[in-house]
Amino acid sequence: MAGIIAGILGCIPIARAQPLPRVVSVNVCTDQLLLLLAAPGQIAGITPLARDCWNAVLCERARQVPVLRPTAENVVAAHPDVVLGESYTAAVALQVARDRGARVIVLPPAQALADIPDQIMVVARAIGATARGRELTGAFASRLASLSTGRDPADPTAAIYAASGFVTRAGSLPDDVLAHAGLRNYATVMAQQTSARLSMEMLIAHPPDLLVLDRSGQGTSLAQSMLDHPALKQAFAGAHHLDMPARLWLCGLPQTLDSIAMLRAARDRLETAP
Amino acid sequence: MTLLRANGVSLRRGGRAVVSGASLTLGKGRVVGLIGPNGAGKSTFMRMLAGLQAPDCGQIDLLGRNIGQIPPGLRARQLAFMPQDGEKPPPMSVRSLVALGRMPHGQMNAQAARHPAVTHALAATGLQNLCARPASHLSGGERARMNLARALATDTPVILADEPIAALDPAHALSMMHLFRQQAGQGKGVVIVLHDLVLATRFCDDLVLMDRGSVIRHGSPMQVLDDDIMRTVYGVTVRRVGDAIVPWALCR
Amino acid sequence: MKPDRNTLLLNIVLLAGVVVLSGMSLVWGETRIMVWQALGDILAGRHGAGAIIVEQLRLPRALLAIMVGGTLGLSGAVLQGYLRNPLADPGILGVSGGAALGAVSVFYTGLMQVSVMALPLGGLAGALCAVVVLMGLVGRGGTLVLLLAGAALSSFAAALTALVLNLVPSPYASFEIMHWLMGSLTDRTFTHVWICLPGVVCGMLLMLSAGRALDALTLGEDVAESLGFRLHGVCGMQTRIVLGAALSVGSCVAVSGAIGFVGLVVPHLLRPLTGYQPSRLLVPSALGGSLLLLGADMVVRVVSAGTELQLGVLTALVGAPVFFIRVIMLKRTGS
Repeated sequence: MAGIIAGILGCIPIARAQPLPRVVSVNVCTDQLLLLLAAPGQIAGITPLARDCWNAVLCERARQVPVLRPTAENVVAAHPDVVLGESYTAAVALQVARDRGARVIVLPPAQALADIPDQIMVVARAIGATARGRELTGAFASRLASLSTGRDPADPTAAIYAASGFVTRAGSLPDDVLAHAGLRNYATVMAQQTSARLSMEMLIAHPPDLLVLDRSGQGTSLAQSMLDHPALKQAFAGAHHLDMPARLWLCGLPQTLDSIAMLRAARDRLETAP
Repeated sequence: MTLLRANGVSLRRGGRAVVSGASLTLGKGRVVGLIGPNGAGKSTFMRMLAGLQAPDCGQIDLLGRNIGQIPPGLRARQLAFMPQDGEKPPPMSVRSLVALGRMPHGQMNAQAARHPAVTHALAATGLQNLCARPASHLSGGERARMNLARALATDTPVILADEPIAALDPAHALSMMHLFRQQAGQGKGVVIVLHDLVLATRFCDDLVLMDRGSVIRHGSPMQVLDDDIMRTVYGVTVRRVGDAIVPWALCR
Repeated sequence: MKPDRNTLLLNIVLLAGVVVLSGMSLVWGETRIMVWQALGDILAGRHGAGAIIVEQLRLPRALLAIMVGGTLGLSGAVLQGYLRNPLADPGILGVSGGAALGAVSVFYTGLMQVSVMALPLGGLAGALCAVVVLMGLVGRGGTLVLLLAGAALSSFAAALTALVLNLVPSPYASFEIMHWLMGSLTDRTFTHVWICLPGVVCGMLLMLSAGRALDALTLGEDVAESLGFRLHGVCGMQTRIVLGAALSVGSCVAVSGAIGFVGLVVPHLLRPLTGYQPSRLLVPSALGGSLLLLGADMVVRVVSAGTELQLGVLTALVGAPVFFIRVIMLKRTGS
């Protein structure tokens, strides 16, 4: 909280000199970067998804700013100076905003922890919150340094198992998180697996040391109920399983570091447990 | 002794009287012919006599007891009903379909098929050579005989048959009427719906003539069928051949 | 008598097939495990990987294949006998579709959190509505009316199912329409077996009790009634068959989704072997349905790499040709 106030105070002199750009975000990840960095009143709209606590860590804060569905029409009607988006979403809305003269920032999905401070700074510069950005990246770097551990070929393996039986593969943010937490990604170790999906039977027959259940999405579905199958509960009892809220690593944010902390703790439990 | 008695039976459907105030008495050893033009309500009356349709008013007694109060299982052992030939039978063997007639006696499958009543009914209807054939391959006449055999196999005191000879050639029609007569000779009571007035006068003890839902005349064939009735009810003139009457020309 | 002995022999052969395939489906899966060791672990109460795979994954799956297949086969045979129409099948008539709609309405809306039994009850309610609407629509309408009513009911139920899946909160729900419309036994648990079992047992008993009446019905409703069977009314055959089919199909679809064509194919193949007598067809159809589904599920497990094939896809591949043959036969005889 103090950080936010400091950030706001820091913005005031600049605001006097030149009005802050009004910003619209059309993607849940840029929504949250915006919420972290922007001054109040600067946000003209974020996506409704940002208010969903299953997907967004900053859902509470998102309730205090306007939301708009990320369609071209809505984006144009909001008259933004800056539009934030991700490479694969709302392409038409971004193009239209570009044609209307808005500054469009397109960020690729974060694939490693190292992308996070870069993305924070890109957004911070675009919306005129450079100081706040520096502050966040500094805190991020020091926390990451305190959390991450060296890699070892004998590290325990961990599988990130998501609804419908999808496993997280190399080259993704969660994979990098595993590496920083001192765990080897099971999907990389079991390299002969060609599919992104893994049956429960395979998982139980060739078990990883730690099963990370990627909890995402509200409500009930067959895909989600798979993670609660009694066979998994029995095969990965106690220290061998960890429930991970997917929102922590769905987007690259400073909060993503919480997932490293959780995994480190789980790894420590593995070593003490039989 | 009266086997079946209907008294003032009426049924309305869709605001129209299908049967109104119809009565009929069937005694032991009697063959009663139910006649009348198409749409007179004969089939509906038969279904009520068989206990398949409750009348709106009036009473039907089977062996002295109100038919509506007889449990269906018991009723099935007292009365066999042969409906108008409708659906194509399944490819089950003739013998196994005739054996269905033993169901009211609690006999099933092999036990029923072996029962003497089934063998007897097959023989009586001349089906003994066809008993292994799929019923779906039978001709119309063979099918009618099979339906009769099924009714006979139950061995009931009362037999009701709705137009049993409609699909039969003269030889088979004649042999089937003989069969009904023979059943009556064994002390049973038979009610048949007929259109062939020659056979009706020849084989029935009593005729019941229906028109537009009402029984307009009943009694011996000679009493029921006179020239006047034939003209007013059927709209045909008749010629007498021996003691039978034959419809001859349409009335002008 | 010969037909009785033939039916008995047929039942024994089918039962043996079910036992063999059940055993194989415990032994044979995506991963190779030491089955004997796993069985030893289960008996000793140890939770080895093999024991968990056999006990928690393969056993419920095999049991559900037997229950669901048996239900579908039996209800197909019973509905065909009752409607005197060889094209009657819970899938084609929209009964399974109705059950899927009912189950979906319970599963995704959180009603299931109240009690797990809400799931089969939802399936039952959906199936019951479908059968009642169907019987009301068709009456004595004949094959064409029956099939049209079934097609209308199926597509309506499928549309409503899709609508419910779109409206519910879970982001995954709308992708799961395939499970409900095609059916699958993947990753079912013993909970599913237990919630399915009461409806399946009661429904099957109700339907089996109608066997004699189905025989009598071969010669028409009037003959059946004159032979002493009550067809309509509260305790009549119709109520028993409708309730039995709805109970068992509803419970099954609630856990497996609507698996089509089993009720069409199995009685069609077995009918000539039972002398075309409806009552003789019932038990073989139930066993044959189990056999078909066990076999289809094994093929699904072996064929699918990564993304799993829906079970209903396979049964439809087997069943649709039978449907075609039936239609051609219908065209020839014109009835």
